[in-house]
Amino acid sequence: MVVDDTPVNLKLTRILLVNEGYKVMTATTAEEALELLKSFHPYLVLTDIQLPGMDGLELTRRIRKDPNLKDLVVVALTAFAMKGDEQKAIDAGCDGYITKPIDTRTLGSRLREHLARRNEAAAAPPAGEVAAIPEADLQALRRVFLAEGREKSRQLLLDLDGHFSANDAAKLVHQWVGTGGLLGYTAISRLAREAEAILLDRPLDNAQLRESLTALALAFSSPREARDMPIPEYVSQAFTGKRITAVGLPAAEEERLGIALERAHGTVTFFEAGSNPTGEEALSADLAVVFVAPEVNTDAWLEASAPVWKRMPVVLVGSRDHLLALDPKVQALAREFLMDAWQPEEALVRLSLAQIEKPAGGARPIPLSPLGTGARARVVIADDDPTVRALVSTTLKNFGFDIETVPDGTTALETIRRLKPDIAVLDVSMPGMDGYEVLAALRKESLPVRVMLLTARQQESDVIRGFSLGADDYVVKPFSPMELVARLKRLASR
Amino acid sequence: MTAALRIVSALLGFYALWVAGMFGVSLARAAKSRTRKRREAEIEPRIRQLLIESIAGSDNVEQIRKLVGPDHAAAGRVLTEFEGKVAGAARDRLCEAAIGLGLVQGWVHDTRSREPMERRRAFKGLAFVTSFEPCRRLSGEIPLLALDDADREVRVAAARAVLHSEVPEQFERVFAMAMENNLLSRIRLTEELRRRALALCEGAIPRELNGKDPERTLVALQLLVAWERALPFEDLHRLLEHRDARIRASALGLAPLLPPSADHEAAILDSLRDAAQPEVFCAAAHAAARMKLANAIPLLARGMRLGNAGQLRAAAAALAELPPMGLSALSDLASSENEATAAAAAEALERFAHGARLG
Repeated sequence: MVVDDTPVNLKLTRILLVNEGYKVMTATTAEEALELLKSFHPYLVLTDIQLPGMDGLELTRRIRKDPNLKDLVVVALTAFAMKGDEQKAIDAGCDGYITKPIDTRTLGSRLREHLARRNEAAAAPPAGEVAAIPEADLQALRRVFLAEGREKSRQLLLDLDGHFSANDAAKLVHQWVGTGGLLGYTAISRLAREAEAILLDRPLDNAQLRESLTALALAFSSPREARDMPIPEYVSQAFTGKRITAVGLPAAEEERLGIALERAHGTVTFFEAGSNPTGEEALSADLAVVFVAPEVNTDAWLEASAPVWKRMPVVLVGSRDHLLALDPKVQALAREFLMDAWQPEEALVRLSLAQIEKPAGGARPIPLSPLGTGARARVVIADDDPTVRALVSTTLKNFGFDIETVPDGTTALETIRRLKPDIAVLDVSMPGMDGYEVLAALRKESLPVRVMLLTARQQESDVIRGFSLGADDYVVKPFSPMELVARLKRLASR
Repeated sequence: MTAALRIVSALLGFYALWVAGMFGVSLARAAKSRTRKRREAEIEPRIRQLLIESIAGSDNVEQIRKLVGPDHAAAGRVLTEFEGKVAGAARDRLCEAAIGLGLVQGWVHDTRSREPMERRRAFKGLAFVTSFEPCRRLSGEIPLLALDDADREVRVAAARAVLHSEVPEQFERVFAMAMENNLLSRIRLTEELRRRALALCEGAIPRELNGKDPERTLVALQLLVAWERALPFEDLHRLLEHRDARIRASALGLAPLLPPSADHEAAILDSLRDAAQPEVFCAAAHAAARMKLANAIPLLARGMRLGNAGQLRAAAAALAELPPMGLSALSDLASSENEATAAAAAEALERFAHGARLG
């Protein structure tokens, strides 16, 4: 049985579970659910916590009190913005909870897990493929959701100047948290969660609320951008079944990281800033994320002798200034950095990259560089465009590479001969020798340098020529700096 | 007489004063312009670095705003330098910065300027940032309306901005505009149109290729060949047999980019048989090489014996791309009594050996 007051959520969850082979009944209020439970006996109740009238927690308590319903598995749907909802759900007697927005790919398997735990596995249908929602149904639901969202978010903005009820608005945006996630608009879901948190905060911060609602209205108007990028398979794989320890993160960053990792099927445990850096619980994870700021007491974690460095890869989070102010030894120990206004997608990529060189034994010293040799990978960047040189060198420096930039092919060849770098990033069209000529000269001299061509030339013949001359990789401009880093890291770790 | 003299000298005095005044004004303007340029030269690298840091994640729009002061031109110039260099989230961050700095709003305003350079700058800026949806909303229909502008630079920039939209009908308008404009404008739009190739294949491209005007068909073919990408287009066979040799030659350039078909293969072989049309023969030789048509080898070898210098080179290059039989044919031809044939074959073999050594 699914209990949710949002029709779109209800319909979509129903479709998902029916496609997984479950028989599903639905109710829009707790009262209706209790009424249905008098006549039907489902194996599992999936209930939203926030319901009109009697809420999901009260519904759970009543189910637990009823001797006929005691064996039911009750799973709560909670919103991340509501602090303590999870604990409240467990206290009320729920067997577990699922955080909104629901991940449509894993809902079925998660419910099966709950059923299995209550020895009811036999009642569940066999695990099949990931449930697929008919595309036409999904599109229709999306259209309705976006149209309503556009209208209602604009109305909320207009109401802000006149009669405005924060509680009603909070209920409305709460619905968008779940529905947005279910329909794949996770950016809308995230923005709605932020707006909900602001709406529930007292005193109400009108300026912040207006900003948040404007962002939400814009997201409804541009659904393509509002939908988060799908998480690449290799990133999901990097986090599946992995445990992450996060230390000292402020609430907002905790939330962002939590949502990002949840999307990638990672499990994160948050620890207070002053928590014990030798505690076994924190140290038994696969990856640690430590926040760096003078006002946050994570100093014990940030000592070079702290056990965390030897046990797992560590990613440091904070502002650029704070990270740069760290002891260079500690900087060198960190596998990755998340700086300033990092985005969830960036966090996932960096955290997955941080795991690449994870030592098998756990106690082996962590290599410091992308090369995995203890030294920082050295890269020569040859490009006649100062903007590209500055862009590439700044990006790579942030990722721990040692950089040398040169403006032409002849200087590039001389510099590579002199410095013997690990990688050379060469533009093709350069004054003096072009990138192909430099590459051919390097291969002729058998210099052990990996070469990436970074060029606007994208004709098939150009790419083939690059590889036939011995390039290790070929990136076409305009390029994504993050993609460039990922490719260079892969090159460096070969 | 004295009175007349006085009037003349007074007039001369006024004139001298006016000239001196104008000179002073121009000196002051030049000095101001020099100061501005010096300041811009000073701050532009700092803006560039701040923008790069913003791409890397820093929230430093406020810092840039303080640095540029009320004149945003330098920030706009530096920001548009990133065109063609960054993509993905990095580009979105730059566009966000452009909104934060008020650049987009300024550009929207300047599109109505009477100063041509200012308008061009404004459209160039919009062409960069409209890849980001919020910027598209800010610029509204301005780029679309400017597709018919009298200024070619504005037209091209507006076309690039319109191609960022998600509306296929608008791509078709840009495609039609590119067809009607000169070669330079077409070249500048080729890459942007390429990204919309699939949508254009739904209507605009078949319409142009099947149209009655051979000049337009030729232009459309040239654009398609320049895209160098696989296309879902089914009527190429008709163009491969077109009576206009220029269209046949261009269509042969497109054949390797389409799914292989017996019709295309037959048309390529027919074109190789017809050595009287050098342009068509060369295009067919190139297509045969790219499509690895082994049954074209005898016709290519024949072309090497009968063709002109251009055909010789094209056929030799194609044979070198068709090992092992093509290379074997080239070896035979290298000992031909015809000096030109022997030289072209030997050169092609040498090129192949050089490529193999490097590979």
